[in-house]
Amino acid sequence: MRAFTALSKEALLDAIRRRIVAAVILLCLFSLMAIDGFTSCAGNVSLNGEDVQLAEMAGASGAILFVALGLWIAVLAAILASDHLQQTLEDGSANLSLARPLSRNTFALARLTGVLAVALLTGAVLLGSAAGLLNLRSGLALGPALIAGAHVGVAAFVCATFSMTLSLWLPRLATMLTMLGFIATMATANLMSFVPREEPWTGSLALLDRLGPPLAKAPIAALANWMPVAETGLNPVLSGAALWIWAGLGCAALLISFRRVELGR
Amino acid sequence: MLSLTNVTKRYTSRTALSGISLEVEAGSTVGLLGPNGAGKTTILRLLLGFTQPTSGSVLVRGLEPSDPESRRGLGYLPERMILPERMTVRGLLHLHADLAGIDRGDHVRHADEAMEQVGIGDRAEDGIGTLSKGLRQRVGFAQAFLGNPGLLLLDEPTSGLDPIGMRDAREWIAALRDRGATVLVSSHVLSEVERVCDKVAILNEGHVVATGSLPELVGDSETLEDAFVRLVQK
Repeated sequence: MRAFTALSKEALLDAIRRRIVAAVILLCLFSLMAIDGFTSCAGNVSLNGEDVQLAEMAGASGAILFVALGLWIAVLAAILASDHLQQTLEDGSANLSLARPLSRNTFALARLTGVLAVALLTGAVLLGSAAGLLNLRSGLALGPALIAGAHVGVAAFVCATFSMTLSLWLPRLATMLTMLGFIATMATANLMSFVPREEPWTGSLALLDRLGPPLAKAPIAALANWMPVAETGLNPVLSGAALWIWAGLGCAALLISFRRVELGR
Repeated sequence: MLSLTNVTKRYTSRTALSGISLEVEAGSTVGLLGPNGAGKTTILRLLLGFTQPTSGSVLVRGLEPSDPESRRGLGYLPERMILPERMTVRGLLHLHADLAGIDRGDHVRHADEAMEQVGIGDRAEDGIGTLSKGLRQRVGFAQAFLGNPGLLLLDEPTSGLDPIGMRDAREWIAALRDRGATVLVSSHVLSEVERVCDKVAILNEGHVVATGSLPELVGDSETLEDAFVRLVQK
């Protein structure tokens, strides 16, 4: 455990030193300003000729905000993970550490922890601010936001593990593009599942929506209480469970792949 | 202590080791000699569990190298290493003390001992990024010597060192031998091996072409270089 803690701390310091973290801080500031503006809007809204209370709309818009921020956190985790382990193989620092009595699993999980710490801290700041402001200004409950935030964290874990796994076989740019494409496709599939249809939805996107990690769907399912007028038809427990299954698969893929990597060539 | 039995290692396009067998007894200092590409580094990588043999058996203190316990009390110096430039020398050694499982209370003592041993005691608080290539190689030695390991695997240990550093490195290895550590040194510097090793294994193109003590391998009117060329070209 001491070795894991020491390696995780080093992995976190490595992650913080990355140039992308400066961009993350900047984007956090912009996002916070956007969240402030988004939650403080006022005005009269009518829907199909009937006046609608803004508080009723705040739930849906708050959910959209949460999903957008959640996907941004997943992208951040995937980008950070795309070379956080691979870099140690290239510069040989993994060899020095793995010549010590510690397992490859410990090493890989410590590197993953460094990535996740940055991504989850960013997520906590952004989602916490959004939930707080939505609660203060629109009276939206914090409980669903907490569960949605946990789902976003698991989604970030899923993306980080698959990105780290891919990085063992692909160059960094290819890993990043593959992961960005995957997250975008998955989010599109999840959101398209809400489009009303007369016929059952079929095709590759529908299949992806049903079987893939519910990166956007799980937070929406958790926030169903915010949207009493919208029928999401989602089971928050099942969506959350699907995300956890994908997290397990991602972790297994990473650990098995890293065990097969030949070091020091 | 170290045992390779009928080990073959094939990469996609070439065979690095062809059915080699090698034993290193506890307390001995063994030199792996051979031209570039002979398979010396591959043997060290197999012993560290960095790669798996295609066939055959590798054991370190009776354990499979994939078992992390086989690396307890083991020091390793790779041929090429990039040390984290943002860390201080002491910071790096404390990190490796944690990884080696040394008690926190003993970190300072072990780090100080290792730094003194390789002559960088006055650079403890310096950033690694500020050190010259030779000093970084000494830091590499210090992390390998941390905690007085009973088994050392040194891959081309004197590369990057100036003549004084090379002489110092030979003295450090001799000191390890004298205190009973088992040392496996991979090198193509014959004089280095000649001065510190009590046994030599000569490799060529993935085969062990000769093993034995220096008097056994070197003829009466030969130098080690003559014997090396004769055995490799045979």
